[in-house]
Amino acid sequence: MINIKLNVNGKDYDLEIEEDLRLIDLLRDRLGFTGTKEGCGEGECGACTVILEGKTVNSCLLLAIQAHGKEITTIEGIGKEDDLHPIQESFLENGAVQCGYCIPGMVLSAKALLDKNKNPTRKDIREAISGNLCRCTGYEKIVDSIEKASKILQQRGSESHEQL
Amino acid sequence: MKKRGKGIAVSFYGTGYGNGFPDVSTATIRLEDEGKISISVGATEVGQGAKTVLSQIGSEVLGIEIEDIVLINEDTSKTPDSGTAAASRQTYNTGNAVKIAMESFRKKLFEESKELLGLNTSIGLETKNKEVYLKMFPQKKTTFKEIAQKLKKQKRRLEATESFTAQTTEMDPETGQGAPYWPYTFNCYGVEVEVDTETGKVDIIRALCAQDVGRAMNPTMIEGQIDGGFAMGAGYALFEDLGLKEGRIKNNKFSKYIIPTALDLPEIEKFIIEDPESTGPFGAKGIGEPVMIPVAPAILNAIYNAVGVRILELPATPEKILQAIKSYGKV
Amino acid sequence: MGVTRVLKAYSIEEILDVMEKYGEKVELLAGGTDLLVDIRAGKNKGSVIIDISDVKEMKKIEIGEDDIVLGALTTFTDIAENDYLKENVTGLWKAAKSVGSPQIRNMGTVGGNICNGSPAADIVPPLLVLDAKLNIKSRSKQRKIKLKEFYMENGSRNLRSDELLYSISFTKSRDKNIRIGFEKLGLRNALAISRISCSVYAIIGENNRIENIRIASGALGKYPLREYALEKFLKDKNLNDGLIEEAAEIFSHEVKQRLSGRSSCPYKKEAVKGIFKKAISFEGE
Repeated sequence: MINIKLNVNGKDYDLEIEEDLRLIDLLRDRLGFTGTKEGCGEGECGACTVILEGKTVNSCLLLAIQAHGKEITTIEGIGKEDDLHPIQESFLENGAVQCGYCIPGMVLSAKALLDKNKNPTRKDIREAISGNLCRCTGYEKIVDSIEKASKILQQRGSESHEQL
Repeated sequence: MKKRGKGIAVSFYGTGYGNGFPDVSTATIRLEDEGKISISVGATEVGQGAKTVLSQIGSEVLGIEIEDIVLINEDTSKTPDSGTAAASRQTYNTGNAVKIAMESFRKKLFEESKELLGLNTSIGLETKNKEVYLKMFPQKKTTFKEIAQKLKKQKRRLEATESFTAQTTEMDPETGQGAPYWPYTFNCYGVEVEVDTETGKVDIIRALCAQDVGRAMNPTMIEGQIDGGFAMGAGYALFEDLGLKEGRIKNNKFSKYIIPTALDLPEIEKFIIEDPESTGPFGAKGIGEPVMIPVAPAILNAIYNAVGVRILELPATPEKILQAIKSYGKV
Repeated sequence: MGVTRVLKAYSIEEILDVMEKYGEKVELLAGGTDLLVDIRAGKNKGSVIIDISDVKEMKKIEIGEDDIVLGALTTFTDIAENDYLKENVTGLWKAAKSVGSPQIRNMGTVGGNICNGSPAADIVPPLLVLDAKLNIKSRSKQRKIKLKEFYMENGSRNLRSDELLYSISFTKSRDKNIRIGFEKLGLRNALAISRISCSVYAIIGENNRIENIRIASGALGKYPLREYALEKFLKDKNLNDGLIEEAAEIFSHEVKQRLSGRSSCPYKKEAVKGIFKKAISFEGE
């Protein structure tokens, strides 16, 4: 057993864990962030995507110890049921969700993209979600949703800028 | 060198179990305590949108908001049987069951309203905004909630259960003649591909999908189904191979069983064709499976148009295409 | 095998200490994109895992006066986001960008890609044509070898169990006539393992004369390879379409002999021509 400290969705944790525990198992089984889905367990599907220090990673391909001292955002840290993030709103509005299994990972890949690139092209968006497999949607409504979310976020950004 | 080609394919597809098999869906409608309306159906939601469409159909009959519908499904202890979420049948079959049950429920609701409003007959009653009112004298009205409260006091429930059975006939085993399915859904897809004549790699660069839907209950969800069907069809045509060897699946993980990513698909231009089906709920038909059927033949036709080779075994991998080009292609 | 210990190191010194102590039992965890899959399948070779992913001194891209140094823990994303490399070492940049997916590129490292030694390792062919050197350290000594000497004929690597690959360096060239290309054929446009890859480094002088050329391939042998026969054929000739066609045939012949008897041979010997032609036409540069 080893000790690790990490911050998940803004909250600090100090935990004793098995040495070979994967990050996804820490998040789901120990901390209850079950919005992070396990699909393939080998980094091919992206369902377990979380944001680690600003970058998307497959949480099935990290040992929990690699997250020691770091900040992680899971889907639970993006928005709450009664206070959704514009990306989540946009996914709902534009029919991006079918079975839903890939969606937490998709939203996190979209968040990481829009945090870096405020005005992505549709190609940029496709590139950003190319590590997230979806079997239902053919991706198009997801791309639409991320594109529309980027416009909403830009507009909000300029509005809050004007207020200053 | 990269060569472009275009291909189209059309399909028609009979939805439902077909061939004389009993294809039955049952729905129960109930007035709930607070005046909400519940629909109980044994229809499974797998992401195709059954819950949304069935709620839409129910709310349309009663003229209420979709938020006032409580849909109960996927719980066999609480719901009647609505058959499988298969054969592209839920919108048509269970949709019809919901519509008929809701109409039956409305009649009962009007009978209760007649009593409550002291009327001689239920003729001329209508519903709107969870109210029942007399069209010729709208001040004469009651609410779903009032009716529910009255029923609760009397320890009665207001509910209606109805079934819908799709019409199909068995085919003659001798002649193969008959009308196994009803209704049929039609579509026509066109794609443009770019074939790399040196590696055999295919990129789909354009896709147009025209889909007959009877009546579009929910255009956004129909588009989503078309997109998804196109992606599955494209994977089927170009990538996906279980690799069966002596009854075992060789390609049993995502690193080996290749499905399209967001970078493997073009933007999909969609055309929804409405021609209401007289036996469908508000004219709607099923499209779940049909949306993927013309994809592979359209892609294979486009490959033929581009480099003159006919790929007769799926998936059309770069190996097969390049081998065909080398042996008889027109490049 | 099972994992008995997981240790975290924060410096090269710490890594070397643990490596010396545990010897052959050690397995290094850099990006983890391959190792975690192995651990889950019980296929990890060492039972003591050292997590080196936070060793900052091995995470750097140094564009020096004469050399470019990549820390072994430089990720594919680090390379893909580096404007200097995009402009000046395009083949390397293209290879990094072609790896897996954003998530894999964010974790996967250059050192891991080299040491894991997959024949399809995307970053190795461009490093081979850059004639990169590997900087290796153990408790007792430090050495520098050429990447082309790293993969051994018997399938092993030129790296002892107490040695650490800590950085990769190659000469920074100021010659304006240098072109560096890379092309990869995968089964799809993302999340694709290379079926064939090819990188070309060339100095093209007056009259399109090929003054210097190095070519490397991936997924056409036990490990990524320099294509010496092809280099020899092309050197000092004038680069034109006819010459490229001739060279492609030579490459094809080479691949045919190398992969003879393998089920992939009929396809790869043909497709390699197209991949080579794209690599030497420096598309996307």
